Amino acid sequence: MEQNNNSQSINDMLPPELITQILLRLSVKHLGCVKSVSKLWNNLISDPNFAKSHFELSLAPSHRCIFIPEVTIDHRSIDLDALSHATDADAAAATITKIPPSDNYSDDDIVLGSCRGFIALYQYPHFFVIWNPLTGSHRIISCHHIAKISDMATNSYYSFGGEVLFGFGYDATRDDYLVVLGWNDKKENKEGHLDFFSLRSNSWSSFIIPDQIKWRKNWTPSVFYNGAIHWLNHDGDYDAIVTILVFDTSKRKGLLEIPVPERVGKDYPCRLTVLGGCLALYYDNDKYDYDYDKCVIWVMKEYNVQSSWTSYEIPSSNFEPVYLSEDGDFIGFDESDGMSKYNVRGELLLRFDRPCDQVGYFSYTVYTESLLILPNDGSEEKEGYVTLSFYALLCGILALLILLYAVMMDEVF
Amino acid sequence: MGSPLKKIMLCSSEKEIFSVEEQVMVQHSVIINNMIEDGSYNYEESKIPLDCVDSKTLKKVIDYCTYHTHHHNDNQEDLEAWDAQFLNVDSNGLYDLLMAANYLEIRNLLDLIYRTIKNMIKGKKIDEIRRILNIKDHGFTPEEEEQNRKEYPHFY
Repeated sequence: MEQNNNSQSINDMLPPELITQILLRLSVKHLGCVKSVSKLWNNLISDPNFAKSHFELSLAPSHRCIFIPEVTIDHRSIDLDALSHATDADAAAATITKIPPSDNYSDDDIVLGSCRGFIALYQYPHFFVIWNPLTGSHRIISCHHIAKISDMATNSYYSFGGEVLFGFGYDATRDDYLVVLGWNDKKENKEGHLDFFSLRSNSWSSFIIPDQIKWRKNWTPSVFYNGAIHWLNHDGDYDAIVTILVFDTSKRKGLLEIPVPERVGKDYPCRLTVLGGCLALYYDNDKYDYDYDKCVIWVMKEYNVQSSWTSYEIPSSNFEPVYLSEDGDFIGFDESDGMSKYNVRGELLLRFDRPCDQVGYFSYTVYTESLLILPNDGSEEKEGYVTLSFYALLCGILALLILLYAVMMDEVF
Repeated sequence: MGSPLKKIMLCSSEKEIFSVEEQVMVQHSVIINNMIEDGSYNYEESKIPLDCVDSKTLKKVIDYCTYHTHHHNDNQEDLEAWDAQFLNVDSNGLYDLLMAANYLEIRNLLDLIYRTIKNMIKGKKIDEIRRILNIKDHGFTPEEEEQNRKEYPHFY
């Protein structure tokens, strides 16, 4: 664009709604800086509707992976978009950064999942933290009323998720976030329970899981996709029929099941994920053929269309696909402490060390960054005010009673 | 869809009349498509008044719609090269085009201009963005501006 002396400020030439349309096309990372270009832009970007449109229109999405190693205190975050463009190991390693310390998580936290830029963490012994690392908006939820969680946590909290079905998702019809816990009480006729917490109403609800759903012992992380929370219904039993359990966050009634390709279920571990905007699952098949260890990835190209399942093979056992780049390459955690990039034909494109001292267990989730805040966030002061007025009223009544008592006593004597 | 031979009249803010193939405008402008479809345009008498679009801008808009109607089968690279040449105008011209595309609801032109302005500022620092978009009055108080510069020196 040419500049001349007569050119006017964009802010004088264009109405705010058209400037908003330009800003919606910038990444959340850049918006943090762009906010200070002018007061008008600052106001446009700070509008809660802007955060919503920016996430939902997805004109400039940025993807990250957060991971918390078991022992080291340094939590890490990977810029997946930058990583997918990296051509050498050094550039790739540079996309992994330490997460600055925050009050919102502790070293013992386990990453459970993500939704709309929010990360769900489990905090020992019976707390969940929902947290947007970018805006800082967060909420701590207690589930101490569900005895099972505390039992589980006390026994071995690092294997959290094993016996408890955990989910986190969004309900667009109510603009609400749900934390879901499925568990079964071994003492009481093996009945399955599903409890869910609504962040908008700030309360727990619950229902009994129907009998036809066989209770599992090894639940793997859930995935929020297409308005529903998904779990792989699989416990490593060779004869088991594997399905995907679906909890619709707006209907909030019961669970549905969708089938997976027939071949799946003979191998374990098996994990559900989202790759390239599609629901996907993967497993190692090294159990049967030690000479040819590989990771098999199935992608459901069209949601709930069985014929759309497409498989890929990565010639590495223990490969955990994390991201399918725009160029169609799989990026994932690899054996030992590395990460690798493979193309869809299973050819290794790049391998690099994850700068992380610890090998072994770690929890992670992939998320799309957002500027969103949780419903009712920022209204804590108001709630505090209500509580304060309530106490004031209570004190008033008490004072009145004492006065009344004093008057009565006066009359007696 | 109108017949390819039919012409419609567009009237700029300077009351200059432009005669355009109906199909060219119907294919690109949601507003004009709606007027033709609901029968509110009378071919004998009507001209569509575009009071907020000047002749220079309207001519550009018509050029864009005409080219894209007749070259929609061209390869992507050629079209992108043509678009880049088409948008080689000064900033006021670009904003006028954006306003016209918005008024006439020409979605591909709108998207092209949004993308062009986005690319001008993508990854840039604040001082540079202000220079490129000619923002002299940023609207912050001197204290706020100083505070921002102190807090985020790497943004400037």
